[in-house]
Amino acid sequence: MKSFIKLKLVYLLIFLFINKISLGQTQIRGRVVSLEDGQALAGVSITVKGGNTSTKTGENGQFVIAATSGASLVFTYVGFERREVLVRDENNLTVSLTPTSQMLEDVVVVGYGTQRKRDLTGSIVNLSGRDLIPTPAASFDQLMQGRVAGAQITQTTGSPGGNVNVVIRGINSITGGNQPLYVIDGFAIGAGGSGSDASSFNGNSYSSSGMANNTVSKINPLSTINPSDIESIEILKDASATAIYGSRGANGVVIITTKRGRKGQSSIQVEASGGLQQVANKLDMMNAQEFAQFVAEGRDNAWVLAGGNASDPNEARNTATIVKPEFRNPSALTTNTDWQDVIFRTAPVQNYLFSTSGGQQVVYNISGGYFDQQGIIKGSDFKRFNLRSNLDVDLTEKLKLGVSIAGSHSYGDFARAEGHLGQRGLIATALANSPALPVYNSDGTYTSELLDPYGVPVENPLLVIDEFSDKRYNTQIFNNNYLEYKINDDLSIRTSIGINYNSGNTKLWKSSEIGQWGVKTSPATAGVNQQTSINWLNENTITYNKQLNERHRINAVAGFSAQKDRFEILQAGATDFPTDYIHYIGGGNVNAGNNYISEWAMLSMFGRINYTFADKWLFTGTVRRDGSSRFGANNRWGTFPSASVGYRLSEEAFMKNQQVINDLKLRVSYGESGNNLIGNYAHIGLLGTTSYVNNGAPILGIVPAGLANAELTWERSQQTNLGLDIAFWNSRLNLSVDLYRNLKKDLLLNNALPAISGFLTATQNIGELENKGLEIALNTENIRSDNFSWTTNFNISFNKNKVLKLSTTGSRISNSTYQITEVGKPISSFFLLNAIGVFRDWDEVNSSPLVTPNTQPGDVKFEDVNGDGRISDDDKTIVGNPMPDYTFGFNNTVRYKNLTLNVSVVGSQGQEVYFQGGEILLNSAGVQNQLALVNDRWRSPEQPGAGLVPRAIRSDYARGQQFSSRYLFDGSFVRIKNINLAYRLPQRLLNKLNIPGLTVYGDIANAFTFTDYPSYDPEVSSTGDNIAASGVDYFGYPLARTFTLGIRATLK
Amino acid sequence: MKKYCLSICTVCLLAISACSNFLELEPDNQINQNNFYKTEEDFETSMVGIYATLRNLYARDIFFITELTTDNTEISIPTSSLAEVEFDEMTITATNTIVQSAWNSALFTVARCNVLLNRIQEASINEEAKNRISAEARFMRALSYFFLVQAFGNAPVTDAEFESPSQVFSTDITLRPSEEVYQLIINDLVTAESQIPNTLNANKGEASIGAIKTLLGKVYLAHHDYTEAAAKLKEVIDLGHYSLVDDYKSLFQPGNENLAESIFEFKFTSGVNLGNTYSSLFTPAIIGLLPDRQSGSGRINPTLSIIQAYEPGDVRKAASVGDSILSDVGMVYSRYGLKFVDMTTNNPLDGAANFTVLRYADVLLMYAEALNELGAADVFTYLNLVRSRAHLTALQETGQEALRSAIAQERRVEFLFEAQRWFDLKRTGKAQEVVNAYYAEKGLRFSVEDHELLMPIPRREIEINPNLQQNPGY
Repeated sequence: MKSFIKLKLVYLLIFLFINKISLGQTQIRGRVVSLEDGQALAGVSITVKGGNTSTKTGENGQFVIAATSGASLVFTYVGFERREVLVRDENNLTVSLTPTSQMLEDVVVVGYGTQRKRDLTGSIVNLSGRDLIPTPAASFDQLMQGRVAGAQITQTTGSPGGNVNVVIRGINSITGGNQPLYVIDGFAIGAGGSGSDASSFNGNSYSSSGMANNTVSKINPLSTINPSDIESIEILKDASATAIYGSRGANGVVIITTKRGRKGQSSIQVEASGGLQQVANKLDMMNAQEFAQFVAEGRDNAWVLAGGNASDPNEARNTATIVKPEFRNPSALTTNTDWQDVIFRTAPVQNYLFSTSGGQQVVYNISGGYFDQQGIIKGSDFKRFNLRSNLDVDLTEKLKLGVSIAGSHSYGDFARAEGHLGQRGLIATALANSPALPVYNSDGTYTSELLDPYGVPVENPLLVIDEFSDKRYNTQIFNNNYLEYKINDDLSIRTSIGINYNSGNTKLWKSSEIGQWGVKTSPATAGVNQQTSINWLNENTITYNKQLNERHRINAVAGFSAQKDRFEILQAGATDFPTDYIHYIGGGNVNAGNNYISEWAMLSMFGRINYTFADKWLFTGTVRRDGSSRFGANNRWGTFPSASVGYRLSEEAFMKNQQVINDLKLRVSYGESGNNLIGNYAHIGLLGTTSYVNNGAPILGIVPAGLANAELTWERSQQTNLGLDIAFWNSRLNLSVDLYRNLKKDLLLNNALPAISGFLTATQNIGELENKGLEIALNTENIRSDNFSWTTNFNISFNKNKVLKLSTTGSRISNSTYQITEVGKPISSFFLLNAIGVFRDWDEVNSSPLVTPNTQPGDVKFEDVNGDGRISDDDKTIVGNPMPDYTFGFNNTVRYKNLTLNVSVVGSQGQEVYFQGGEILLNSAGVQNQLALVNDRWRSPEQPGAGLVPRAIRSDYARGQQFSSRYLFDGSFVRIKNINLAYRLPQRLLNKLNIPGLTVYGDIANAFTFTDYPSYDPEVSSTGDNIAASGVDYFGYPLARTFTLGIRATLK
Repeated sequence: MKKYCLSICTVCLLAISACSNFLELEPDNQINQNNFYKTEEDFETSMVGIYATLRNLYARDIFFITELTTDNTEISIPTSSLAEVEFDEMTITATNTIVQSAWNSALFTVARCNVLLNRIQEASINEEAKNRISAEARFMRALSYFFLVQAFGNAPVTDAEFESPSQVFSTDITLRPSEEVYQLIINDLVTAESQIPNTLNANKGEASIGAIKTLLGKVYLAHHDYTEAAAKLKEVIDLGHYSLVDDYKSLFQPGNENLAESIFEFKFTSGVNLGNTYSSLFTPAIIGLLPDRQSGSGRINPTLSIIQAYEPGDVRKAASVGDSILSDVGMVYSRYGLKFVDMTTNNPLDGAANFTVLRYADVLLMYAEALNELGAADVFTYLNLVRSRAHLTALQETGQEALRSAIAQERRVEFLFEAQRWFDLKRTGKAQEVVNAYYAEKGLRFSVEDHELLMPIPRREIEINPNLQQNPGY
């Protein structure tokens, strides 16, 4: 009661004061817009500094306030930084506000609704505003890299439009997928990702059927989303947040919300940028002199092994050990070709964006974009067109309608980059080629030693670029519509129906000039395939929102949904083309093809309730029940519950008396979510065809192709999360720490079956694995002043992956040629013979276990793991794993007046990478060109080199050239991912030009990488989106370093 | 308000329950086990699948086990894999991928025969077809088990069709002793013999009365049941379905389709990804021998020992092996095989020649062997039929031991590259003696130990089922 009287007195005084001083004042008129996009901001509080006058902006951001000249106006608005502006005699003041990076009062998107960020009890990372200013080289998943604690994001290829892997809180599944669920504007589109060049071409893939079967997608569907359309990205990490997505939530959920219009005057944004890309680092290869010496040495050693003498002339030798005469005198060699310069180029990239938004009863945001990137490997490029229209219509006061229509068309030429030189993998072909060979013959034709029995058996890479073409097209049309009815202030219902159509088209051509392995030419082949998918979704929800009194707040949602996906593929291949002019299958003999469909359907019911008591205690409970066509009749329905509690300690009275900590919240959550990422019909006993011959012609037989399993069901993830959010000094320092343990049960495994079953494996729910980890995110505002500010964002994530149970304790699952999974170890551990050095001399040979009794000094020494005195495949052992111990991101933004510098650094430590290309570039076989570090090989007991590279010898009798831990390298790296310098033209100048905002910027992407990895980049992976087999680099398309200049403007 | 909510909930529940078959999806484009195995054609088609399955064994793996282990062949290239080298050096381990692959092909055939034999019992198709197709499946099951029992000794036995992973793990599939496996093979073949039409099937890619009897004779011989072997092989001779072809070479060249001498063969053809890889396996990695500058892989190439094993004047030598190649650097010495090598295709991995599993010359030599073991008189009548086709003089040797050597020598040169040598040596008890002598002669520090007469049970199988007993010594 006392305080009430006090307040009244204050009001009275203010009233008197205002009346007194308002006499010498003028009316200031103006408009407030967002710095980010020039949008008008409604509801911004404006006060006169030191005075008591205040107002708020109207719908179009306009305001009128009385102030004296020379006074300062203070602008405050939720989600934006406070700004002070000195008043002059201006009648048309435009004030732009900068979005804050710490938006404690912000709202975040959660599944089927939104929640106050303050009230969160689950582990959710929100990216919006500043975090998402795009650079031209990036798709949105690349933008997330280094910004999300707990998400390991890797760009597995530098190929334009290529794959990016997002792994949230560690690899969760061995057989099922590991990609998170992507939800775009409420529509669950499924997993992203695309295959790699190496996975798309393997085996007999240049035959007409191989070309027809090349259905691996190379355009990542997520790369077709225009990053500048995105308003916010939420990454849901723990079960409290993901259980609402039930059987699809276990790998985490990424929710993307696109920009919608805000009521107000229309505004237009345009942006244009252009840049140049180059290969970030070239490999240090042997030069012609070193190479000649190496080749001679390798062949002499092989001839000696075969019983000859190193001094024997060529006439006395077998073909494999003949040395070109000019290689006997390396110093006289004049040609020195760096084949990397032959395939790589400096390539341009351009990006143009346009968007407009505004409206009153119909609010719109319409955008378009064009992105054009040439690849750093000759012959590769990528183009993307985007259009998006988001409309929201108030039909009546209570009824609201919304429509989103988005389309994209992207296409490109893909380089035949990865894989073995025998299959004309471009990078292998270039690196292995002889540096003593010129690029062109004297008549201008391409050189090649492919058919030279004494040369390097590789094709000229320029021929591969010319004679191979791989064109891919992708079209997406997305339409989602909702109708929302507000029954009363607390209760609303919403129904939505949407459809996502995706069409991919591949056209492949291999001319008759390209053969395989040692064959120079082979009949031309072509392949084409057309893939279409239609996915529809209907969702119906009811939402209840109620503030009961000061202390109780309830927010609840319940609903049901139905979703179905139909995928169809049509493919054909042709060969025997009479000429190389026509690259379409109709030009040849069409003799391969297929057509099939694959469908899944899902029915779901779900609900969530949030309850907040006195802003101190926060509770969330969710449950979802899913039924899926993918699983066996006996286990088709599953229920996924979760519960979480938050306790805001800072609301306690004893915390109110200090100024250091302004917010402190503890969170605990537990829940279950599932993973349904297996094939559509894995539970049905399917039959397949196999070819046989009758009367010299093919005939098809039928064989069982898979074992039925009516018990097949979801992988179930039991997730526990402990979290702490703490803000110091009025939120200048924000710290979030999360500790989690995810226990995955009923793991879908391709469980090995005894051969007498007729099958090698069957997918079964067996096995358990665990991911546990720690995530720390620290946001600080180091300097905050009007002209100068510096903010830092640092996050680091530790994750430990361990398999707890497989079908039997001793069983091993093979993930790739080099990787296995076994109990007690991380998934996909590298399982190889362990090379422990090079035999220095005979003493060492004679006292060691050997692969063959013929072993000599200079050969590779392996560890005799089973101690049986000899080296065999039984000695393979786990020598590493592709999982990093920790990953981190470190982002700094420094603003001085209108100049903003942003530097982001990402890092990953402790993972191993198997450099499959090392089987060629480090094999020391005396044939292909080698990395320069092979110069440090064993040459004699007196010159043992570094002890890592064996002697040059053209024979693998001692198993030194095949796969072993010799080619396994530490893949740790620290990368300066991005440096961006932006300059916003001064407001005064802009006002004269009548332009609300204009920014110019320069950007360096992938600026520098610190690593010991010997090939181009430790981040690339030749298995594309097959995350469970990642960590193998077979000459992956290197990442580019990109320099960009751009301009971004807001027009009225 | 409550009413409103209630009615919404009711609608939801109704909608979802009405949609229960919304979740029952089957692929329209692929057959599944619920809508197949109904007509005679269905079973004929699955029989084709069974032939194709066991063809995988004969496409590659069996030659490592039966030829590379012996004095017939060796690896001529230094870059072959450890799994391959283990056969050449007789140091085979339980993790050997080729052993695993051979095991898989044989047992997949067994499993697929089991599915067919189970399904056909309940199928309403005509009795003649049911018998004939069952006999074919039994022949193929017997052929698979015959390989397994010779290579591994013991083998897992079941005739169940598996319908879920849990059924696989609840079935007893431990290894049964070789004696039991032999009885199973004999039972299958005797039953098949009674079910198959007693007429010549012109398609030698399908099991026939002659194929069943020949295999049964071969099984009896391997089991040392000489009386039964001799009787059964004589029945084959008396069928009159088969004869030796004049041109030995023609047996192994593209176009060797359903020849009079062939009893059972696996079919290949080139140009449609259905060729064999023999041209690559049996020839060295040197350009000059194969057309179009192609070269082999050097994996299973003739030894000096086999080249020298041919008697002067034997036409089989020039049809089987050679030792000089006109390469880019002139004539080089390099030994190569010629049988089943296709000189008409430009892809050494796509040969068109069929592989003959059973042929009449084998019947004659086996019959001679059985008679000799029984101490019968006219042994060399049958031996000399084979010799005279090779343009060699008739042998007049007598004495059981001398004839044993003569038959062994004849079989060696007659059946080089025909997946017989290792099993012949094992049957006659000469494997260690012959192969160890060969190693010693070459000065190699390798040897065949007692336990190495049986291949190791693949490690993978024991990891899956720890109750499987590894063969002793591994």
